[in-house]
Amino acid sequence: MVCALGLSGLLMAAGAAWAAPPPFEQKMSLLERFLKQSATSEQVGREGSEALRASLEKTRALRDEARKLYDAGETAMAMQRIDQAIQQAARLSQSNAGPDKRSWNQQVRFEGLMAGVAAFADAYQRNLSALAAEPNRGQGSVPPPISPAEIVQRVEQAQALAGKGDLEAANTLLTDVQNQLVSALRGMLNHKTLVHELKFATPEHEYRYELERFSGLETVLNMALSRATIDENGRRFIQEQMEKSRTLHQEAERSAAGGKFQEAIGTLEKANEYLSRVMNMAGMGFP
Amino acid sequence: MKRLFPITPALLCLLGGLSIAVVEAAAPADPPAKTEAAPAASAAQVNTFNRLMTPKSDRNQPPPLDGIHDPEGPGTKTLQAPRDAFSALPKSSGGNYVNWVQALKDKAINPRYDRLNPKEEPMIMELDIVREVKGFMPDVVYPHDRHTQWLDCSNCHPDIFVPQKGANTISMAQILMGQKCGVCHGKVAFPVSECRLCHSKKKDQALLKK
Repeated sequence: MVCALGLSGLLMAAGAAWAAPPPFEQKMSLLERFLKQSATSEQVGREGSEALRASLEKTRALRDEARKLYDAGETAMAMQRIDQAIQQAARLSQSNAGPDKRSWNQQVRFEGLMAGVAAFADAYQRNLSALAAEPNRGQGSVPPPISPAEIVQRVEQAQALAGKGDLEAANTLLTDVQNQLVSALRGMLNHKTLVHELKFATPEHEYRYELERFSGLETVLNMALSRATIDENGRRFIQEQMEKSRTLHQEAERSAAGGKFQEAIGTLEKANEYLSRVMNMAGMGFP
Repeated sequence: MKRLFPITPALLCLLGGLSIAVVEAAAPADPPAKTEAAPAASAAQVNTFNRLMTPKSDRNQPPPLDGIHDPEGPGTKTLQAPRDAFSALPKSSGGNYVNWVQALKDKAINPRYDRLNPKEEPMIMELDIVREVKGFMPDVVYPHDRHTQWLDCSNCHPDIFVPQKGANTISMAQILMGQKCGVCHGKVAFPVSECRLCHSKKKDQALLKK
């Protein structure tokens, strides 16, 4: 029986028998695991500060209250209370995070903020120049919330703080700079539609674009074929079209290798057309 | 990822993005990168990144069967099954069959914008980016507003997308391999099989005929 069903059969059978417990019990079970089995709970109980222990006690009290309410049929109130207990547990877990983890988190955040501030400052400068060049919109129409000199000064301040190990203060400073920059960009770009025009510098660029399109379409189709339920005739038809497209793709590659990019583009366009034709058939919502 | 959904971690969802462009109208668009080859991927490799493209019957399985959680883990069976969690939410035809944008609009869910600060509100950016594509295929529209309802700017910029026009090359193959938009789409946001959701700006038919 086991051999005949295989692993997936067994999983399906398990699925048929499996039913989720009521939401309250699910939450209660997760909370109990935190209170009775987690390292946080064990550590706080053993050596936590007075505040952390009080927090743990509060979590337990909320759990007990939730249970009583649930047993009394007050399901809505019980759910509210168990949610509060879980939130309390989450706060406790965060407060109890060791200094190493807190420091690591701050370091990651610091690096992310430094990269973000640089990118957004750059975007802000470019947009400011572009807006100034637009007719009827002088540079003064979007007052800079923060000057470039000020950005540099604050970034240097943040770096100095980080150098002294005060990453939290550095991150607070950088967050503020980033928020101001994003807010300024929002003021400049809100309610706009920006178009990335498709322009090719050379036929070779266009050929590479078509090549990427071919690769993308073929990969999507292969994936869809491995998953979609298509009858034998449909599958055969799709494979025939894919075969034709592959032949054309090889032809295009030969043309491109000989420097005949225009010819290669035309051939690849046909190859892509074959693939596009069967997309819907393979279960893709192709427009 | 900046947010946390109070309902269930399975609701941790949605969306990557394309790029913030700039208003440099005079600057020509950069040509596509010359030698950025599409990642060579077999269907099997690609499916690793696109769990929302599995057959309909395999989607939204209960945690012990979803292939993500350890079926033997003591906590796995206590988790809420997505089909239960999603049952009251607006439906969609793809992905995990939930229209998350509508769910947010209808206030069917109330995701917390910041994991630690329940009072923090999103900074919504109403900026559409249109990426032209060749041929009859509709152009891609990336709406910032729907993405910034869930995500902070720093979730995508600058690591995934450089906020500069022409600085990002994006191909279907990259997305399928879990890069660019594929960081989210296919995993926790609708998969690439929902072509129309991104390729949504129809071409001018008269121009196509020329």
